[in-house]
Amino acid sequence: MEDSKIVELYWDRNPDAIPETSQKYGNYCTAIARNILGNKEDAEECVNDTYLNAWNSIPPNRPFPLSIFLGKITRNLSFNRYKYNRAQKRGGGEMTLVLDELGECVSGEDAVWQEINKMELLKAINAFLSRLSDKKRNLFISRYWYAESTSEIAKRYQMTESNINMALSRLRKQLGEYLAERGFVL
Amino acid sequence: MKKEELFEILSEIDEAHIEKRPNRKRKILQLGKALAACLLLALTLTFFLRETNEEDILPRQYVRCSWVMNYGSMEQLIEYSDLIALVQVKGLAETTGSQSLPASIFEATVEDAILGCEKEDTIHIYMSGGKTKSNIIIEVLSDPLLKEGQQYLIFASKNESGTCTVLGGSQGKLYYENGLLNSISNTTLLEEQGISEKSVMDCLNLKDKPLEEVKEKIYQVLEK
Repeated sequence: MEDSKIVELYWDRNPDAIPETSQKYGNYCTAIARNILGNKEDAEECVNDTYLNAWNSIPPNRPFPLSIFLGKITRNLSFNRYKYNRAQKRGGGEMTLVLDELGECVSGEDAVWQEINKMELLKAINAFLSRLSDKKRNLFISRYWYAESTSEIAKRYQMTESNINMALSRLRKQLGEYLAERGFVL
Repeated sequence: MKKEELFEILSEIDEAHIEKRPNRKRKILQLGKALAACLLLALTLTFFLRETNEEDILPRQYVRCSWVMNYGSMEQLIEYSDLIALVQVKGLAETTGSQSLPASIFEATVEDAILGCEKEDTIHIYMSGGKTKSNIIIEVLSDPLLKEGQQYLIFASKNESGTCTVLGGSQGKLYYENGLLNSISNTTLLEEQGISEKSVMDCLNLKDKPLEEVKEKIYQVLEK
């Protein structure tokens, strides 16, 4: 079923919206949740919560593309679960490595980041991503948005894992420098 | 800042940057069941295809028509661009579209990357117009087809298909020669079509502007 028709089901408060969403995007959302959580049961729970969140937020939203909208919800829910699990000293998955890599771009110090500063930082990150070629941007997104493993990324881009690691390392360095040049002390 | 915070902020990045993923298929079949599944698939394939709405299975790609918008200033043009570069056209890669309105996809090499690409990238520029099967070249008036070997500074938007489209037709396409940029209406390209007046879409109206000067202006706008 087309995205627009699925969204219409949500707007009509038709319960078929959930199975239709699950049929079309269930595996997509599960993949994101599993990348972050590294465990099937938690991932399934987060995906079910994703549908509930979608039900509660459409309407008033009319998301397009629906996949990214759902992916974003799954990503946030899964990351919250990840933080909870880690506090309970459970699980880890790919996420621990992804976070360690992102740790190279930040100081790791506690600082109070006002919402306005976060918006400025987000704007700068968007500008950085705009400047990248499609391939490099997709590489960055695969790792730091979808939290995919480097072996999975290597397979998709038909590159070796060490080349992927090298490319990601350069991208992190470039991002750090780009933000530092613009006065962001992270 | 903590690394976790950075990960959370990345959640909010512009959706246009997030590459879509196909919905992965579940690995529900055990190896022993695979053959049976293939056999069942073969038996039901004809029936299935007949019952499925063709629109649901065909891939769909969206592109922008090259003259769909008119931009009032260079700032606006830059704001709506996600690819800005000095390119050299290598040639026609593909003719697509319908016979009544063909579209051309030109291959070009990035010689100077400003936004959304890198030097020496190969890009594909989609534009309306082209050669029909009956050997007629259909060209949009005031938006001449790209010429092989010619250099242009382009302001473009990326399409889902992997191509890009120059924004505003002739607006987002500056003719480059001997270090100088000119709007299409300030070149002989339109005169070749018998048009002498200036294009109403020509917001930039650049005449013999050095590339570096224009680049500086673009960077100033991007920095904002």
